[in-house]
Amino acid sequence: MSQDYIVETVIDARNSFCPGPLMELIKTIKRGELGKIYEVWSKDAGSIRDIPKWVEKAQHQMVDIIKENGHTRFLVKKMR
Amino acid sequence: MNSMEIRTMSTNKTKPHVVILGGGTGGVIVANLLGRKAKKFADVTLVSKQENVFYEADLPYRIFDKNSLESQYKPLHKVVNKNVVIHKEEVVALDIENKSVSFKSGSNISYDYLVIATGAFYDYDSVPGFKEGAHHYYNEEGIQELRKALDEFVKKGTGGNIVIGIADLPFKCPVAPLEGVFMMEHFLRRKNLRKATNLHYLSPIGGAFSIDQANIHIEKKFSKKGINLHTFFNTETIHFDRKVVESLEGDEIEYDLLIMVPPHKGQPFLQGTPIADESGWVKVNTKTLQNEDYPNIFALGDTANLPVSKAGSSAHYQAVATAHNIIDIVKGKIDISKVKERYNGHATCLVMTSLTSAMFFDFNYTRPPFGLGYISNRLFYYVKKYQRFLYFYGFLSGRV
Repeated sequence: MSQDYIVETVIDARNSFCPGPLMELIKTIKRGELGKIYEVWSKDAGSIRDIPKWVEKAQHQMVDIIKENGHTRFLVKKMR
Repeated sequence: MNSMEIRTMSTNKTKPHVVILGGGTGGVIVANLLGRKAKKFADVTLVSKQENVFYEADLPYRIFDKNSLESQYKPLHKVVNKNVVIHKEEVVALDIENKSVSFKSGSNISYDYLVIATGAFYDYDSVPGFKEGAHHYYNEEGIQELRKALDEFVKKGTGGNIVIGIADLPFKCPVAPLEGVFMMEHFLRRKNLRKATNLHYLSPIGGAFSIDQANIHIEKKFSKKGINLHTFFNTETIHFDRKVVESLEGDEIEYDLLIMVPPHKGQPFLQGTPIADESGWVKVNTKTLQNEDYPNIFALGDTANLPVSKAGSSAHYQAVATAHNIIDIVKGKIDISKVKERYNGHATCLVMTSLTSAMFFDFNYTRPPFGLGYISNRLFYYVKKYQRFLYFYGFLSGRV
């Protein structure tokens, strides 16, 4: 059971293919507020590998990765 | 260039009016198929602000050769079916509720069915420093400026840092920057400048290319050719005063010559309309290419917000799918609410891997490129080199 988070924006990128979900997340975080959590939903297998790598590289914080039926939720906190 | 032939508008009010916006690959193919197959059932108008259709796939060659771009243009009236009215106008607004398109001249035109294939708009200002610091090869003006800059780099003879990157996603022809870096690598070898030049490739994603299976082969080539790959590099600012490009992720790369794919957006007249997303790409069903809120509106090619390469080949396949759905609608074979899922994400790319070799990618929404296409060879190069003739005399007709 995952804990509850206060999420600023949820991006439903389930209809998007690689690199769509990552790019949607980048776009949202770019104009987002420091310290807020942004969530992206993806069905693309590549997201599991790419999103955490990008989050680390961009020095944000991966708050949680939650697997649901048929898609994955990535929760990312904007740190800079 | 030849002047535009304006064909007389039909006044027959009994037939539905299909208006196609955009005289590029997708628009011309839709126009030709409708002109041939639906002339008894619909009036067809093609709206274009340009007099010519332009073959863009040869642009990377033009960086390195001294050839004129003249051969890449063909007057629209020579490639568009005679049953289609060609209207030379620039679209400035859509009135979706009243089914009307307004033009820069102040006139307007009404439609029953609208096909939007107006391509992409280069939003240079969205990346600070792009205009001052970056070169590109996405249009004739960009090519001319880049040729001068490359000539200077070669004349100087000392080498340095050449950086090739992408200002923003999505952009037209995802393989074009790869072709640019591979062709540049070969060009520098020919000029005896390869050892003195560091080649850097900036990719916004986790690899050089978005399709994993193809990426393996591309990154092997990067490694073999000594090209430095920088992943997760989302361009933030170009500090042209100190010749540095900076990423959103905090990296900085110095350059002597910077070549970047310009930032792309949907055309200004689409931005802010209910059919477009926040970047101005028209929202369509991925398989029917129809807007789900306004089913009499279709969009294709670079204009559509599809999760597939923005490329001439995908525009070609999308145009054929769209045209056949509209033909069926105007003939009364199908209802507008039940158009067929005719597009499967098909795209093909001939990818230059040096000045004299190429790979071939053929893929769709669910299938990656075929294995044989990854073998870089001279045959694919010749196909690409002479594809322009097939484009003007085959693809644009909608018969091939």
